[in-house]
Amino acid sequence: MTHSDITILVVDDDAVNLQILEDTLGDRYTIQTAVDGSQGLNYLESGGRADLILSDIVMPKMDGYEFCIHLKANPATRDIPVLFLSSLDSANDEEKGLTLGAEDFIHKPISPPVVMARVRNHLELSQARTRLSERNEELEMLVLERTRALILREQDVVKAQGATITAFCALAEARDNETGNHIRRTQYYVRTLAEHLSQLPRFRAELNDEAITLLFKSAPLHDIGKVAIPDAILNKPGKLTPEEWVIMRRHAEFGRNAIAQAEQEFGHSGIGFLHYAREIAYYHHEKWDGSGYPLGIAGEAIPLSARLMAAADVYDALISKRVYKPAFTHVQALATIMAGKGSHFDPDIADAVLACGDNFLSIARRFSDMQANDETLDNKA
Amino acid sequence: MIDWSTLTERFKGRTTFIRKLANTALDTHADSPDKLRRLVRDRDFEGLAFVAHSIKGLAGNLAATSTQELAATTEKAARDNDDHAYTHASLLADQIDMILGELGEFKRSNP
Repeated sequence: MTHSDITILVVDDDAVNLQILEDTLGDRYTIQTAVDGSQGLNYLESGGRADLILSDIVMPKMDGYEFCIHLKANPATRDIPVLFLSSLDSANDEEKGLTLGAEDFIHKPISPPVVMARVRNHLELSQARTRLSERNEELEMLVLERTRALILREQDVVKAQGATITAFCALAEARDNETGNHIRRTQYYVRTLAEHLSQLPRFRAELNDEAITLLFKSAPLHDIGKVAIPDAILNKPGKLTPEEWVIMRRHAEFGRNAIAQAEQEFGHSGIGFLHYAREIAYYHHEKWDGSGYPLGIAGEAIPLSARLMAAADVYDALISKRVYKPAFTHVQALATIMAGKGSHFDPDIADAVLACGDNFLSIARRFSDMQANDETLDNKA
Repeated sequence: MIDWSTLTERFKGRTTFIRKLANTALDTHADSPDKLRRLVRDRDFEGLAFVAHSIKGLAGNLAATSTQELAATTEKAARDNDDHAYTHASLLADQIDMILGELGEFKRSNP
């Protein structure tokens, strides 16, 4: 903005004052004049422009104080700097003017250099304030845009996670005689257990809403390592030999390695979700007393995610029919889980299976493998 | 009454502008002395305070320091409802007459 684009409204009932101020400021700025506050307000309300207002205080009709009150009460004019120019001498007059919102108080008689300097300073201050305000608006817009972009990216990551699970699961199901329903059931058992245990002080911090969602997403990958097990062992219609068990047990390691590789590809964005998936795949055959595999670790050294999956996986294996064993009833399965409390399973998790028994049964029915199995559950529950 | 050297210095020796100021002051304050005397007769403190305040500003702008001080004294006395305001106002009316005379003389000397 050039100086000539800046308009100063001078409000004074004395023609000599107006003349001096026009002479002082007229070369640099456009000057508009009014003889009292009401005329000044009329000028502004009819669309007149003012980048700064110089106003006398003692004037007929509307004095400078009342004029200032009107200006500062109106959102359209409250940001215009108001400088009182008065021969009122007392400190109270000056204090009152500043309290009403005026930016400055200049004492008469008019000193042209002082008026010029004060006007210039307040115009610069006002322009800086305007620029700052505009910059703030720009920054707020920028933050909004970035936030939107982040949300979209987050949504893409979530979609990618879903696609990863779908692809992995499709692969696992294609290789294994166990149906996709085992995957669904164990996924829901894990969530049921996690939600139940999140009420206990011991698990509250670890099992927050986000963790439970990630566990639910990760659970289907618990046996992904089985894709690396030869068909002859994986689909053997009978019990495995000790040698075959050695190979079979390696599915935990294979699963861990595959997920770790995917984790590297995802970088930071996939860490939460694949971290749980990797834990579950590798540790879900560990036992509370250290007699499990692949590492034989015990107690809380086994990640919580894997301890949850261990209980869910065993419960589901028990109620499922296999070529080498009949399906257990729900009650038998619960009894077996409780028998393993403190040896196979984390004691609190075994208790949770028992406490969530009805929910487990509902899940088992909802994702039942076959009608016959459903009847077994119903008849013997 | 007017300190002409201070006034000339304040407006950087621009006689033409000072002449314009003199014209404006003569136009707008020609009736100020009579107004003051009438207000004294009417015992109107409020009116006296308003006119004295206006003359204080004019005198200040014209570098008429003693008149500016007298106007300030008059204004204060009038605001305090002090009877001395009438005496001060009468003196002030006389001084304004003199200032207007000096301004007229300046106009004639600087056509």
